[in-house]
Amino acid sequence: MTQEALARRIGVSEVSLNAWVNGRAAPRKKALAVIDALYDESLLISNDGALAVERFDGKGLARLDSDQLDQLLRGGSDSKSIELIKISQQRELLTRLQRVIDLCPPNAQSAVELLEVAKNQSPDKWLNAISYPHVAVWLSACQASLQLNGCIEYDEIAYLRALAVSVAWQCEVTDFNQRLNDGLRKVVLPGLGYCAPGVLAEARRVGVVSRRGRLTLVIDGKKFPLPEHWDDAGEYWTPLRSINVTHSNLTLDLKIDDVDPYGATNTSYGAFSAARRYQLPESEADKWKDTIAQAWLYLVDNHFEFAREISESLSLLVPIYDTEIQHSCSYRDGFGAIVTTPDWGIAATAQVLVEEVQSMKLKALHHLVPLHDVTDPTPRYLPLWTSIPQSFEMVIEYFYASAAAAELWKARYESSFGEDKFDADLKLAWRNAWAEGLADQLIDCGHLTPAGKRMTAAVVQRASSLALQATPKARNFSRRRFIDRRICLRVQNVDYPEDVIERLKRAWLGGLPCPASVALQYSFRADVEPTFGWKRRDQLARIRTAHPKQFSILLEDPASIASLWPGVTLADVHQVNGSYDKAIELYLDAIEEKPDNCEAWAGLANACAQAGNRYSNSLGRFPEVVLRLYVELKQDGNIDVQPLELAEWLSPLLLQLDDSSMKVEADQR
Amino acid sequence: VKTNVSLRSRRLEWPANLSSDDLIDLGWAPKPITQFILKVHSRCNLACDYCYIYEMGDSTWQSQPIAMSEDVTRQAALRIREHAKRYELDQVSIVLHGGEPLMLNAARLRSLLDILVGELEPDVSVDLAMQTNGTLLTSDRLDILLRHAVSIGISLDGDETTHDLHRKTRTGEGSYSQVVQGIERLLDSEAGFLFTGFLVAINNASNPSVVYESLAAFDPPAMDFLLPHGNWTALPPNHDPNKTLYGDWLVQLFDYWYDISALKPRIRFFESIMNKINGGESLTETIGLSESKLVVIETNGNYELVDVMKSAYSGAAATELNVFDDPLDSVAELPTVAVRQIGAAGLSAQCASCSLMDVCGGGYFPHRYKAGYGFQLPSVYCNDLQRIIEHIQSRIDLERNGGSSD
Repeated sequence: MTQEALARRIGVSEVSLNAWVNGRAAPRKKALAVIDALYDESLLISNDGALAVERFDGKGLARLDSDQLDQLLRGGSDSKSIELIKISQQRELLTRLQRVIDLCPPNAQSAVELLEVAKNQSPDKWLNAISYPHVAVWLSACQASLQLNGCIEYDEIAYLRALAVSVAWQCEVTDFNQRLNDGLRKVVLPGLGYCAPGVLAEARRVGVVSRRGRLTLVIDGKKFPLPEHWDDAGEYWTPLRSINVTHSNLTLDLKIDDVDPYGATNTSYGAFSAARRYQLPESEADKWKDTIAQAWLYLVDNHFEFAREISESLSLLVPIYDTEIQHSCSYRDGFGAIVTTPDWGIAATAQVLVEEVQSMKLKALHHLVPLHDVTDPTPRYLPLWTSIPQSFEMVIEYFYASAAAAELWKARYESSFGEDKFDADLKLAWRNAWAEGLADQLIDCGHLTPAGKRMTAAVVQRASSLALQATPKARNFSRRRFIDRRICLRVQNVDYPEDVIERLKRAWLGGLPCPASVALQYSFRADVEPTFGWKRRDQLARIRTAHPKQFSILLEDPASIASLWPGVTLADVHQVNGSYDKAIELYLDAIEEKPDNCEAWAGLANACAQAGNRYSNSLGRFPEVVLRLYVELKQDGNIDVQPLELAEWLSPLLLQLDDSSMKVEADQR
Repeated sequence: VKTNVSLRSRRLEWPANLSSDDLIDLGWAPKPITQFILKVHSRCNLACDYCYIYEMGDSTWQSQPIAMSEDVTRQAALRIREHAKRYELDQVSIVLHGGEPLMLNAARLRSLLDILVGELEPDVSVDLAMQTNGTLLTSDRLDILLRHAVSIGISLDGDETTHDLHRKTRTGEGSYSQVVQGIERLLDSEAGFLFTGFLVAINNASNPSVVYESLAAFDPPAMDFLLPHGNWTALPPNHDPNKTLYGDWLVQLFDYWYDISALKPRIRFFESIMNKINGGESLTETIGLSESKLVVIETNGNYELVDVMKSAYSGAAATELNVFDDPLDSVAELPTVAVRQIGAAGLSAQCASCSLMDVCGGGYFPHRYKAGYGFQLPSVYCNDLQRIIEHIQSRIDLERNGGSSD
């Protein structure tokens, strides 16, 4: 690229570009972002679609040919492509590390110098130590601090100091001192373990000294010698626990990190907010080890390719608190680490490993090949599987992982019996629905780069070539479930400006046709998970499918519903049974009694949608508009107004709206 | 090298008059010494008027070499290693003391520490510490102390007025500002985590809360309050055996400290009393019946007893033993050391029958001295100790019963 072209790409004059090159001026943040993007883009260097990444240590280029790249885009990999990902991750990490080091305040210089000593002493061990997944997460935090406050914050410096000690110890630097930051309750050495003498709770000043390779923690002048090797437990030292299991010559070597402060999951680094487990009891750690080991056997025996990929790329497991459902995620920056709730069985754990490694790989792929326009990180897409708006990056990540996940569900379906079989079938249906629902929209949304489109086509091809279709029963079940969930979400979370409702109200009261030109711009409370209706109906549907006799009791003896299924109404039971007219009648009664009964509105809308009656397009898709107008009219004393009548009146307006886009309308306001 | 002061030149008092058989009858058995106080420099750049080395009964410093030579250092280290090996000690504690230990220039300080560590490790792990007046904590010395992880305790008596009252420079000016500069250099340096806290000589004319707050301003991990040295023959300053002037001062300080709910510096003197009341262990040899496991090695290589014995009379700490001729075991067998390892059997009859004996432990050993009687008396601070112990006991009882100090 010529200098002129480069300046044009960055959006500055050649004079400015020259000033940067000659060190007379520095680029601003916006220009730096463009330069970073160009840097990423420059990694894709070949015209034939092959990929090459320069090794940081000057050992030449790591190359992938076009077929290998396609395989990667499709969701597969081989050892070479995983190696290339790792190299690119390290390269990225080292660039960012250098940037942070350059901007470190003077009080962190000793840590910076220690890192340098360790690097000179043992470059290979240094690279291995610095590649610990949370280091990259910490660098992201540094970057965020720099952008937000223009400096690296106290906590980040504390981590740098502890990291320097950890790296120096691993590189066998024999003599050093390092002051650690005050106010710690536990000294965590990233990637190694932690020391926590009781006096740390009242510590003023903490430091670490190493003499002849023997590390001693010093707390307010008091010495606490640590073991000679970090793998050994000591009186004050607890090393990270490891899981090491080999089956059919394939090894999984994982560390359980339940202490690193940058193991925290939050929306910046993970897929969701979840409290992390801090310091697992030995019994729980053993349980983890046992489950992972068994999941490993399952994977190696049944999905060898996935197992190989996991073996080559996964190094860290971050446990988080148990919740009612299994959660897991991987970090945007921390390649090699996955975060998950405790195991929910061997197959489920295997599934988590596979899915998260897929997600991790996709995240890493972003660094290798720009797959979409990264300038829009706003979470504003509402895919089928969630009620929480997602960023486009997350959407394509789910999409990328869905083919692999479906493959595992297919295998589980084929090897399961009874209810488990139905569950596997259902999950397979969901995954298929995700992939089917997303592919076209991903391509249509305009955010994908050519490589992103190539990736989307490759994933679709893979999914269809594997014939991963669920049974019609499961597909139908999952479709109903998605509809119900979305209705509940809308009833509870979508809101409209006063003036819109006011205008509709005036038209209704004036006996006019519904004004089709009203702009229905609504807001979406993205932080609220729908808490009613759909989950209970979902459970009822499972009972109806798996235990019809038990379900029939509810129909024959409505009085038993309250005791057997607290919160469930007879209308719910009729709806799940497919008696939609009866269900609608009962929901209408409930609404008449309490006009703002959200549960009844969601049930009504869902029954209409499932029945496919003439209200399904208006009430089924925009129940919140009907609800809001109805409540307003009732409050104004219009006792004769009927929900279905109102839904029909609103049809001309609602039918012209297109809700098929995944996009959450919050950003339209 | 032999000391000029001979114990035999003085009439033997208790416990020096005890034979080995007497000690064994009292329940003594040989115990290892684990803490070694090395007098690495025998002079001081300050001239504190209460100093037990230069300003009280002892004059032996005049005959000491100014600084510990490399030969003496090496020989001391060999003796320590020999002792550690015999008792299978993994770790020993060495405290650099003086005079003022930082009167050693940086090069000699480095050399001394290198010798100590080089001779002892890796066979024996060395926990190095230092007690300094803080005025000479320069960056070059701090670098060396950091390199060897030498923990640093600083003597500071409180606010400027209280401190400067006794701790003066050789020209008679207060040393407070110099000490504060040293503390700030330490805390701002990479070696800040080596700071262990303050050693504070109590001045009962001062305001305890002012003293406490002025010290707490440096956020020290601990404050060790020392009762001024004195005994029944040479009474402590501003002391009246029929009153509890020091006890009252300590009570005020305790209440002030105890009522602070936030993170506060440890005061081992109070914590020891609280621990003992609650059936635990003392954290200091000034309270309780803790076994004494330390020996002093002078700049000339002589072994001496705990340093503050010098406040009793000239040569009170001397032993006639030295690192070149004698193993450390011979110090451990000295009656003055041994009686501090036999618990209540080493106390006076009055102490042994006292209800507070378990907590108090007879007070600090040097404070029990009276010419002609030796050390088998209650502490000269007996009434003060009783006052503070009973007060702490009452506060603990009140808290247990759900009351408040108000």
